[in-house]
Amino acid sequence: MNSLINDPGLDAIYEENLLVSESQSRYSALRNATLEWLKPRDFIEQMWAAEIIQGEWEMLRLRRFKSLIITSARRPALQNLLHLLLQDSASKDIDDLADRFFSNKDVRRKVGAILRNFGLTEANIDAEAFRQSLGDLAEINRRLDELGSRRDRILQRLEDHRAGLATPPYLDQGEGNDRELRHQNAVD
Amino acid sequence: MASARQIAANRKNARKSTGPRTRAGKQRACRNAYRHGLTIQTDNGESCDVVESLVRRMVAGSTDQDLLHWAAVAARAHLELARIRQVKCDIIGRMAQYGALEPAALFRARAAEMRYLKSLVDKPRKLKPIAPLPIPSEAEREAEAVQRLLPELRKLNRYEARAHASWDRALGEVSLRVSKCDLRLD
Repeated sequence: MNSLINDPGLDAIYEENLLVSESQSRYSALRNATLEWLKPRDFIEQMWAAEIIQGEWEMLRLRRFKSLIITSARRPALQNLLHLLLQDSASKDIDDLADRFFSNKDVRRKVGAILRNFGLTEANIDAEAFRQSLGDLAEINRRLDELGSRRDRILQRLEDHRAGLATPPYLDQGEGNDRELRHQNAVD
Repeated sequence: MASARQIAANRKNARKSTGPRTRAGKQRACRNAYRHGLTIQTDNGESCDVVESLVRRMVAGSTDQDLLHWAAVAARAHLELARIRQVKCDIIGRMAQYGALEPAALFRARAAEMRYLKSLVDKPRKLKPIAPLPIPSEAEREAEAVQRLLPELRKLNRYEARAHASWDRALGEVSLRVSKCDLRLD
């Protein structure tokens, strides 16, 4: 446990849920930086801080996944582009080119020349990969928006709590949470 | 619209199906509606202890029944959120590890695979073992798992949004009462 969380009673609220590829040290760094910034003064603030850390970590995770999803869509994107450009060629040959593009320098040059003939560059592969992943990315972006709103709401609560201005939750919290639930239901 | 004859045939066939008969079949069928267990009650001894400990920390020393009630709601919602997050990590991890990902490719191109297979037929001889192509990194597998699991994760996010709303409201109530009592807790 890091130096900021030297109270064993806080273990329960700062429980971490990491994926295999995620780094424990990076998580600890984020947690320490957030706690350093928020400086929670009581247990209620600790709970808010823990929730902000969870949300921020999930946002980092989702942003990382977004770029990985686009990267993994590059091969089918190239296949798609080549199918559009080389309509006369056999499908097998096109798939072969797309497969070897990422591992063979000669094929990379050859595909580069084909793209140039049609006024395209390798950037168009990324653009096509992005286009193909739009549905998934939109879903992830929605989740990022939700997490961002939650963080802002919690920060507002924390400020009000410190200033002794806490308002009855039914007067203000309904909005954000209800909107989030309504949105979730609409998406489903 | 089914004809009267079809309806009669359906009813006749349905009478033949009386559900599971064996003990094992009944045991299995009773879990048909079970998906991820997020709706089950978890008031076991261990979580009660944790809830109690969280409540104590939130409202140390207070005997205000309202305050105690909201603190308990916040504590339970907090544990619920932790449980949902754990389930999310578990299913992503499981999918990344055992999901229907393609097996590691042995050849960089289909033509190379064809040449290899042809050489096996033309000149039966001992060939060098084939090293598989590098497999995707753990992060790439997880990203693919998340992509495949998006519909499932959406459902989990809905559960999480409910738990979060409950947590947010309860903690807000606790904060309000603490402010009123001017009770700053450690």
